[in-house]
Amino acid sequence: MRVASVRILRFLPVLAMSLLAIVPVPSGRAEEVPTPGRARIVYGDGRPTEEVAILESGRQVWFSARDLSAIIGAPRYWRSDLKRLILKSGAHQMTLVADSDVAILDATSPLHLPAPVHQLGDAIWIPVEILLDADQAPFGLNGLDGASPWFDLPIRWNAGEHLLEVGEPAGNLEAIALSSASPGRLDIQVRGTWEWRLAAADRDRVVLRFMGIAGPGDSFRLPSGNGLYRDIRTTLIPEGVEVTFAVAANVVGYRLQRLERPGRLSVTLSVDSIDLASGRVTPFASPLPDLPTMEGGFMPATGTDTIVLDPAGGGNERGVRAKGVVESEAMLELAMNLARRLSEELGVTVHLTRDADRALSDEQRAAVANNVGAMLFISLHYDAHPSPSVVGPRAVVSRNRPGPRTSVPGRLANLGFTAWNEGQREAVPRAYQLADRLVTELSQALSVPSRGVEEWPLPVLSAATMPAVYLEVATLTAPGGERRAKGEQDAVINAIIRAIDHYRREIR
Amino acid sequence: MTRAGRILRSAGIVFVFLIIAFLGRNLFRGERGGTGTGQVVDEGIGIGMQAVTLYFADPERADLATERRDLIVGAETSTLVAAALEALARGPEGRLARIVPDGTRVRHVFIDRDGVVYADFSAELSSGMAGAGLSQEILLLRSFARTLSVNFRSLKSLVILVEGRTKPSLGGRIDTSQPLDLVDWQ
Repeated sequence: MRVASVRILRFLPVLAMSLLAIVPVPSGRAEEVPTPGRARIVYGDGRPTEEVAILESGRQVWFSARDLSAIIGAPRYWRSDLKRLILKSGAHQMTLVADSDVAILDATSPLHLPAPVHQLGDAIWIPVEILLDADQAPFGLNGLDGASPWFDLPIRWNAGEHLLEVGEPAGNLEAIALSSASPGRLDIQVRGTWEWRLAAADRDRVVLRFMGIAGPGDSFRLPSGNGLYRDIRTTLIPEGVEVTFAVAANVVGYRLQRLERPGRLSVTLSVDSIDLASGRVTPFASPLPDLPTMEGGFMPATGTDTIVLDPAGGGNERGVRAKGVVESEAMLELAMNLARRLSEELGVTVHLTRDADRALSDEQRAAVANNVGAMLFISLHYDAHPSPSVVGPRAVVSRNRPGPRTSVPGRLANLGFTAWNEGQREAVPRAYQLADRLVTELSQALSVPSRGVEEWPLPVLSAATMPAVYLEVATLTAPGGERRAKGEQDAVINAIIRAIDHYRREIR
Repeated sequence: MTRAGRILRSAGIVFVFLIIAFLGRNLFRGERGGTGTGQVVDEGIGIGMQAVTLYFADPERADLATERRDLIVGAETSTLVAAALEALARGPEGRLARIVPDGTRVRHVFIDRDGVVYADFSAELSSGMAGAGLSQEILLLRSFARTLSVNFRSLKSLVILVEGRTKPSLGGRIDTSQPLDLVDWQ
C-alpha cells in the first residue's frame, strides 16, 4: 500500500502539468485569474444604459462573445447568405462563425481570434483591449466577401468608469432648463471645454452656437415654459450644437452670462422697459430676413392667426410630373396666390416655407411652421396613381405612433423634452377636422368625388406642433387632371379659403 | 437463411421504405400547399415548388389585386421570401400593373427570431421612385406588406434596405427609416 502511494506521488507533477495543459487560460497572462465584474454599456444614440458581466484581470477586461455580438448589432445586420462575420479593428481581425443562418453567435459557436481569448466553461470572452488599441477607430462589421460594409461603429472602453461607450457620443450638452426661481432665465448647461457665440438675436429667432461640443443625435423641443420662450430647440451643426428659440412679443431685451463649475450659459429675458433703459438688457435686432416670407410686402399682419403653406418639392425635388405639369412649380404658384387671397379675405398672416425654386428638407418645412407659431400648416401637393379611376382630392394627416413616446436620453428626459418628430401627436384630431373640411370643399368645387382623409407616417407633418395636413388638390394622372391643375386654380383657392374659414369658426 | 433472418430482412426493407417515405413527405412538403390567400408557410423544409399570392396594382381600381405564382424555392423561409419579393420586382404576368420600379433586384433577405424581415434591394428601388406620387409610394409598401403577411404569417415587420442601408424615404414622402408593421400596412 505504501509503495503504491509513493508511485502515485511520483506521478503527481506529471498529472498536474497535464491538467494545466488542457485548461485554457488567457495567453500571455497565465499568472492572472480573471475575476467577475460588471460594466455598463452606454449607447451614444440614446438607448438606455445596460449592465453586462465582464471578467477582469489587471488592466485587461473581457466581454462575452454573446454580449459583444449584441453590442455591435450583429444580430440586426446579419445576412442570410453569410455564415461568418469578420470584425476588424485596426490591425486586429476577429471571425465570428454562426452555427445557423439565424443564430448569430452563441456560447458554443467556434470563434477564431488572433488575440487572447478566454474560455470559461461554455462561455467565450473577448478581450476589449483590442478596442482600446483601436483608439476610437470605427469597429467595422463586414460580410465574408468584404465587399459590402454594413456600418462602422465607434467603440471605446472607459476604464475609469467601467463604461463601454458604443456609437457616437451622446454629447456634453447636459441640460437646457427654464429656471423656476428666476422668471425669464434659461440655463444651458455644458460640461468640458466649450466656446459659444450669439449668431442671431431677433424676437423671431435667437441663435446660440456652442462650439466644440456634441449634442444628442436628434433635435429636441422644450415646452414653452413661462411664456417668454417659444419653440426652444437644439440642433447638431458641423462645429457643435445650435440652440434656437423665439421670444414673446412683450420681451424688451436679453442678457447673456457665462458661468463655470458647472459650465453654464444663462439667458435672461426681460419684459421691463426699465431694464432696457438702464442697460441691464440688450434690445433685440430688427427681424431677421432669413425666415422664408412672402416677397413684395403685400401680406400685412392684420390678424392674430398665422398659417404656413408648404409648396411641395423645390430644387431637384420636382415631384409628380405628368401631362406637362410639374408638381413643384405648380404648387409654388398655387401657394403664392392662395397666400395673397387668404391674407386679403381672412385677414390672416401667411408664411410660405419657400417662395422660390429651392430645396427644403421635411424638417425645415415643419421648423418654419413651429418657429412662426403657426396655427395651421398645410402642405400642398398633386398625386399620381396607376389607375385612371383615381381622380379626386385627398388629405393625409400624420399617423400617430402606437405606444409610448420616444424615450429622450439622459437628463433631457427629466426636463420635459419630447422627440422632435412627435410634435404632431397632440394635434392630429384638429388636423383631421381641417383635412375633412378641405377635401369636402375641394370635391364640391371641382365636381369630383373626394378620396377622403387618410393617415400615413409623413415626416413633413410629424414634427409640426399645430394641426398639419398634407393636401393633394388633384390627381395629375387622372383624365382631366391637367385641366384641374392649370385651369381651375381659382376654384381650388376658393375651396381652400372656405375650408379654412369654416374650420376657424368651428374651433372658436 | 433462417426463418428469423428472413423476417429481420423483411422488417429492415419495410423500415428503409418508411424512412424514405418520411423524408420524401417532408422534402416535398412545399408542393402540398392549398390554394387561396390564406396559405401559411411558416417553416421552409425542402426544395420544391411553392404557390404564393402576389399583390400588384389593379389599373381598373384604386387598390391592389392578386396574382398567383408558383415559385421554385430553397430550404429556408428567407429564400422563399426573397423569391416572392423578386417576383414582385419582376412585375405581373397578367393584366395588373407593376409597382416596384423597373430594374429593381433583391440583394439579400434575412429574417430574425422576432419575425422581422430585413430585405435589401438594389438602388433602383429608390431611384425609380423619383417623380412618383404619394399613392405610388403607399401602393409599393402595401404590396410588400400584404404579400409577406398573407404568405408568411409568422412575419411581423419589414425593414427595407437599399444597397445595405435604410433610406429615410423611398420616394421622398413616406418614412421608411423605421420597420414597417405588416398588419398596419395592409
